[in-house]
Amino acid sequence: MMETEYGPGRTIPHPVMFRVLDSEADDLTVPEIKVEHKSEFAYYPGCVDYYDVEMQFSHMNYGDTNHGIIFDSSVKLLRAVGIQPMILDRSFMKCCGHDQLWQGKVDVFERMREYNTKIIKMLGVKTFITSCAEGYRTFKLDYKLDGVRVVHITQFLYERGLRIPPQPDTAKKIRVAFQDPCRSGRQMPIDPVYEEPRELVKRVDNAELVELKTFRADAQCCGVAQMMYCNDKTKGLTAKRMDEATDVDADYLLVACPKCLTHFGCLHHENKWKPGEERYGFKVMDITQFLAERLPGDWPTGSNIDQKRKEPPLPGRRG
Amino acid sequence: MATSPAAAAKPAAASAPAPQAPADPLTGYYRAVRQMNIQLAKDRYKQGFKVRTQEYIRGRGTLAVVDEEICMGCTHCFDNCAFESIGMVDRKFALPEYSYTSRKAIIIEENCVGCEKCAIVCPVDAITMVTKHGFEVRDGRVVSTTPPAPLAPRPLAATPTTARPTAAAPASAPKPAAPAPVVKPAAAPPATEAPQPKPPPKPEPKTEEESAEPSEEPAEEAPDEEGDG
Repeated sequence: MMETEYGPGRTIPHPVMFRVLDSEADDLTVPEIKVEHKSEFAYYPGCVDYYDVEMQFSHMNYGDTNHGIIFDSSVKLLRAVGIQPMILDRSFMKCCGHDQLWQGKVDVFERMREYNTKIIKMLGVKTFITSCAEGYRTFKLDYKLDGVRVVHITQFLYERGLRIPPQPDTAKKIRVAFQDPCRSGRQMPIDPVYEEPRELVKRVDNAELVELKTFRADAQCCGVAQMMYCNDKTKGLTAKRMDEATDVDADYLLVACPKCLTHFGCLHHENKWKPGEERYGFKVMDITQFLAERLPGDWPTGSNIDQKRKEPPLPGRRG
Repeated sequence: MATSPAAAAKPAAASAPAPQAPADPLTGYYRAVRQMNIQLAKDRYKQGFKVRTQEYIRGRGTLAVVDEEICMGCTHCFDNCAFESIGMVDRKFALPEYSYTSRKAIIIEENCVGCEKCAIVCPVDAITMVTKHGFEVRDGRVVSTTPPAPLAPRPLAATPTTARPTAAAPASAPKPAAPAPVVKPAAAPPATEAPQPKPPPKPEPKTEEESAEPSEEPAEEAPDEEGDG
């Protein structure tokens, strides 16, 4: 617990998550890596599955915020532009160390960096694709990956010319707002990701891109830096940002960072606590999920959605 | 020639039950990696849950307290409380230029049994356990500070359970010490001294013949006490 001028605050998520991620740095022995499909293009999904377990455990949502779908969608999109990426999955990679670095656990971060750099060099990766804004910043700036090009997935899809097929005529017009992540936006001194996600959204023919009140380098944060400090004040910031999306009458609020998805999804869920109390009429989802849903075909990777469950459980006590 | 249809039939049979397995090996690779990662995350988290629960030592005589500055209204404790001792209320907060309401948990103290479940599930550790009135923590254990209840009523309460034979039913019905001699006189006249001073009547109502011998021992002790007094 830390004392600030605003009063006491606690870490979010549950300390279990920090412990699980930190404990990855304890064992640095390189396992025997067997990658079935080697490629110079590597996709790193990050900690999305951990967020899902965390959110389920913490009851931050009842299944309406899905982080794992970012993984599925990214693979689908990359295959749509003709790339068969190698997956740098978490059985041999470690967390990128972003949270540890920004929480001040520099020694933990350095151990993770050393290990991950060794693995990336060993596998001969030339293009390192990540779908996470924090991973993008960390791998690009804080790691020393000479000879490896680190790109955010929206940049990569844009330069590869992702084409979204025309939507059926029955599809109604939608208004889409985009939340610029801090880490890949104004906190990137080189190569900030502003233009690419907007260009990709414009390629969906029934979607109209609307800008929130603050955008690009001025974009307001989703409220919670990383995942470590959630209280009433940060929640107020999140509510303010979501109210901006309501003001522009958006149908979708797209994010490019799994943590933004967590925090927006948390508040979105909280305001559905009582039926009929819904405050936000729009959907919150990751940009990769939005684009992949507009492509034909099913998720190639399967997904983490429970097939037996047809609809999310009821909110409140009955859920 | 006969082998080729058989060979053709085998792949057909193999492909029939395998619509789940994708034909494309690359898709199979992606699917395997994906599902393996989901399982990995769950398994790694399980260890964390164990650590978390082991941190708390279960104890009675405690009461949950919510720190409202930390509580973020996730309703997890509300969902998990088995005794309906948690309520959710809306509190208003004002920032400069912006005000909003936020949900907070409150403890209904009459219902709280101190099971700590809410403190375990709280994602932000907003719930702490305090000892109730009349309890305190000694050596990491919650113990009662009030003196233990008098011992006398316990054996009386125990008599009906121990008195299994049908003959004991009339014996258990009259609870005061007086009825014991009513039963005893048939067995032994010295037993009349025994039951009155001491209340260990457990052996007595069982069987008259066997209890006659142990009943003499307290009878011997009882005079000693009287002698001391």
